[in-house]
Amino acid sequence: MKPVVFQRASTLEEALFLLAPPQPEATVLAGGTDVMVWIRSGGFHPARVVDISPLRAECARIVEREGQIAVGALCTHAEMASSPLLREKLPLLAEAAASVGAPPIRNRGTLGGNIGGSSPAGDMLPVLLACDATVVLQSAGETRRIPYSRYCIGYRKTVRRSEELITEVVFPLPAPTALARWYKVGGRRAQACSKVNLAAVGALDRQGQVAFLRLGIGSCAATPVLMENVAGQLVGCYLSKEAIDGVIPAISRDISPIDDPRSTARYRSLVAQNLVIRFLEELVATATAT
Amino acid sequence: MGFIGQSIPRTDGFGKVTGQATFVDDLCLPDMLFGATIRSDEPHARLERIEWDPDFDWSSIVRVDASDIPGRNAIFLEQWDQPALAQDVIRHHAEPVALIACADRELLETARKHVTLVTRPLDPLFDPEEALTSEIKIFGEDNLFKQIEIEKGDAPGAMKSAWRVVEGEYRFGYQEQMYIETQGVIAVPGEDGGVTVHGSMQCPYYVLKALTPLLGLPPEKVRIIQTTTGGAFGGKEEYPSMLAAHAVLLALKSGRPVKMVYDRAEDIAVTPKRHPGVIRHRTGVDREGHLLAQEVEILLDGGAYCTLSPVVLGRAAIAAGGPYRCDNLKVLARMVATNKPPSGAFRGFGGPQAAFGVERHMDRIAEEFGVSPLEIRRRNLLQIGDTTATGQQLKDSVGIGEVLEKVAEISDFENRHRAYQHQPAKERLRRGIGLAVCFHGGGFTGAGETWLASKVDLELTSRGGVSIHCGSVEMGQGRNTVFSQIAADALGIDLALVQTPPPDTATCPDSGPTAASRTTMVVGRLVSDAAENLLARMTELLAQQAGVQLDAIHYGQGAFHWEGQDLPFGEAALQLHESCGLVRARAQFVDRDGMVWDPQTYRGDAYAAYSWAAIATEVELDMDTCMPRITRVVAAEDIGKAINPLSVEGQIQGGTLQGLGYGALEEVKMENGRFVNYRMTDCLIPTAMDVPDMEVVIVERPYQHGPAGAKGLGELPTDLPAPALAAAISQAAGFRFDEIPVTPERIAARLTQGKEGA
Amino acid sequence: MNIWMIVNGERREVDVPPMKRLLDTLREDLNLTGTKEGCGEGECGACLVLVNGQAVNSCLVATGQVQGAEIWTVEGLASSPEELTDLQSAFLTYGAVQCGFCTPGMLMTAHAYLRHNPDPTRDQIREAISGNLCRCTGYQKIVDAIEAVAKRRQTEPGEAP
Repeated sequence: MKPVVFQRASTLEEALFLLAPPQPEATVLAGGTDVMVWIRSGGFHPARVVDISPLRAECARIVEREGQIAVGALCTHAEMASSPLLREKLPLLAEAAASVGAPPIRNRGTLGGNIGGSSPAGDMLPVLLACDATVVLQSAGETRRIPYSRYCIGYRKTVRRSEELITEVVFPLPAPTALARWYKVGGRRAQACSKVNLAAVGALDRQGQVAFLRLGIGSCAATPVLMENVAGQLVGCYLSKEAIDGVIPAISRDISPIDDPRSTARYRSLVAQNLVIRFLEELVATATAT
Repeated sequence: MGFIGQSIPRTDGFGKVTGQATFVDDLCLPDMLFGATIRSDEPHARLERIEWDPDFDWSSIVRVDASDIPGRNAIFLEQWDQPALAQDVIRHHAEPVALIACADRELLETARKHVTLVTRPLDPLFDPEEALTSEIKIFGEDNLFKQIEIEKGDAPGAMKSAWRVVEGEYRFGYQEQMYIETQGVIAVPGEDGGVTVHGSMQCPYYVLKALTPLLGLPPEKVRIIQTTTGGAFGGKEEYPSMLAAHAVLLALKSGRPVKMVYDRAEDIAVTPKRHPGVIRHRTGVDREGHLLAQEVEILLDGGAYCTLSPVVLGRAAIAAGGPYRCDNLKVLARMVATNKPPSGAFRGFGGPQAAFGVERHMDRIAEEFGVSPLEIRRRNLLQIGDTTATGQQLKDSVGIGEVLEKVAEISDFENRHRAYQHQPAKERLRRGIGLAVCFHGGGFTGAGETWLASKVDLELTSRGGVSIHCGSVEMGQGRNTVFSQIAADALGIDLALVQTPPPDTATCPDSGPTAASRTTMVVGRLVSDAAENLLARMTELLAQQAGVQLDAIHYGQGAFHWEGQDLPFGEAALQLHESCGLVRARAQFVDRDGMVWDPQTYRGDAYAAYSWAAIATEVELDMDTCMPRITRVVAAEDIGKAINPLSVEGQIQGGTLQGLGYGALEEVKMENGRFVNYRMTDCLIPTAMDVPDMEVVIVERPYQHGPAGAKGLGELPTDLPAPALAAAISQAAGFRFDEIPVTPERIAARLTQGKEGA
Repeated sequence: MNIWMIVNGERREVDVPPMKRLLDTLREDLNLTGTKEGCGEGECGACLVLVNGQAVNSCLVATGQVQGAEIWTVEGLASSPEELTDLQSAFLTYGAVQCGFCTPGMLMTAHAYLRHNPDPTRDQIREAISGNLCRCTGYQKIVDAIEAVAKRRQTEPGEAP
């Protein structure tokens, strides 16, 4: 077996150079929580690895600018979970990050890695969908900004080109009136891959009609899914009991869960329904209370 | 003041908190090769030949197949049916067929891909219910490894006079031991044609007895040394014999040490797990809710080879009726063969399956009678003077009533159970509480201990102390500390003077397997006996040296006294060690209980002493996600005497969590005869977040022949959490769950089924 | 590739393939076998070490990534009975150790965590050790040990190793 070419980028510029053609395609390594496992257990043999972990100075910041929150791709889950800025302005992301794996995984796993792998169970991804976040891809030649809703296009398949690096994710700040909730259902209470995860953001207008609704759900299809059928059916409507109950067929149209070693399609469908309905009921309850 | 009864920190703790303890994978020998196993990819097939890719350079790889086995190709336990390497027929997925070894691990992995097994597929048999009548034959003519029938009184007759007959069926899946240290051994060839095996194991003498016929070597040429063992729980009772056989075959062929340590995926995919199966109960009850007749049918899936399955079945059969008084009982228990990896020993050893069946059934009886689960048990518990399923009369040491009442009181069972019956149906978070009781016999079944004839040696050391030599291992359960406490008290010396070297078959007698909750109760007693024999031997030698009569010397307060002289133990030990060389004393098991046992009819005294336990668990069930959260665990366990209360609590807490995992979390899924969730990511065990602090009560009803009254402990706590947890979840969900694990998926399936039906 | 790091306070150099797991480098090249492998996929925490003060699974770290890093393993805690850290001692006296295979990783987690949160609740301790699987103890005595050390450090400050 050929030895792996290992290259350590010390600056973003260097990383982009190492990824640029004519060099052959490389595997980007950051926290290693996916790549090291694939190599060990998945029969994955990369020819070349570019380690971007030294880029933290450039790519691990969490800042607010122009009404948006920019989170560097090398931010770890632990950093997102404890960031005062996120906890104040984007608690949904902090909460989701805090629910990933267990402390040692959160100390290593990064936002960029979660997006790069785009596992259907990735816990950050429904949040990106619910918040309509944009992934910033840089290459030596250009910078592309792609909403995550158009980023993952198949099972672990994304639009990232091999010369591009995920450097940042930009989250528009949700409206102050919006209700945001994170639900994670794993096999146990820690250190668990999600069987279903749901990030939900929504708000009612003054008349009590749904002003907007974005639901990102994971582990219920080949990719994380933005539940457009549900939103399409409910935006502009009153959330009466009938309206909420009537959303179940739309939920079924949005997702296509399967049986796998972790769970069953039947379970995932039921939990997806229950969690969406729970969110809608909370939305009504919160609006009624204020 | 003695050491028994005190919470002494474990004597092997220092190495474990500093990283100095040597586990097998920490050993690295000169010229060592790494071994790997070539396994079948089919559940049932005829093996035509093994193809070694002629274009691959095999020069630096050692290759072994069945033709390299010098003796009999079998791993002997109960039967000779399981080959070390498959020959002619493959009977389960991942069955070992050939072995390779190489100094370079990367090359080893590459080489593995250049071996092809040429096979002709055979129809596989997966369903244990079809095993007896199937055309497919795996074991004998009927695929029956063992059948046990127990008859007490006249169950069919008594059933006719019952006021009501309650029937139920209870199912349970595989459970993986998931010791954190995977299986591993190193085999070292000797210059005399013999071999030494270092490894993580429970039973060095099982390995010895498996290797000698396999290699055609006399026992003195095979030496087994236990390395620090990172958890076992039954999982390292039988499989190390297989792994050692493989490493030894490679070592003998290569003439070099060979290390084989499984990675987690291989460990989960191929090593034996707790037997899955089904238990059916039919119980006749009188108007007062007393059990008149019990009929129980047990079917366990043994997988492709016999391993220890008949003994597991025996445990299950004896425990099938539960710790209840019933004069008429009939048990039909069967262990059948299927084309799956063999099932095997796991803490509880048939007990958890039996307890799950009978305890869920008692809940069903309570429901039908409209009495509480506590009340139905109170009315039927065994008491002193009653007879067990095998007709054994209980004479003493019966703490079942006490443990049940303690748990009922602490958990406030009746009030909570009643309150949760009336909780609002629509709540998202619903609560439930469940209860279970059980018993577990200490030691080998029936005449097993007499047959084992276990031996323990105590030897004076050059430091003026003693060392304990026997085949029982420390695997985390506390053997070293407990044995040290027992020996120190028996000798009246300081704990620091007692050493517990790891078992080595060259220097330690066979004290039987480290299993069956027997180490403290049976072997611990032998430690105490050996200490007395050692004192007698020392007295004899001192009398000779001092030229006095034997009875002129007496021992007390840690010193020998005669004619105005006081010779402390340590000084005497040093003096004798120097003057006499090796001073050793042995104790061998003798049956002090006068046990009478018929292995054919399963009638008689099944165990010298029983331990008793009760548990209550509470859950909060999220009806949206069907995820139960365990909110309370109260357990009381009568173990005769807690030699080391700290260690006892640790055993109870750890064993309880394994039992809770069995009840609602842990699931090894199988498709077409192979385990599909063979990674730790998918084969879950509880984390620290999955359980609350447990409330543990130790009850001490001494067994007169145990060391200081101690009875078996290791397995008891694992036997009973599953039915209690299933009961709690059932109450919370409003549906009865009689199959474990009660996973959220099962709950969801049941809830949606209910909705469809409504 | 030549890689240097500060391991348990000492500068060490190794020449290993850069993608070699830090776990293997520690065990095979630096002979620090106290760090254990339980799963090889970041699930069990037996291989947990501190890298620049952070608790990480060394099976998920490529050695090439720790060039110049500060690494602490269980061997860096104490090696003689007189020098045991408060956590090591508490693990013994509170019965937090049974088979001992998860213990090195568990101890490293506890050391890092108490620095980060010196006064945790029992639930917080449970969360802190949720990436370290233990099959023997049921976790309760591990929580007892860590809680006791935290309490003792609160009353006797100034000795946080």
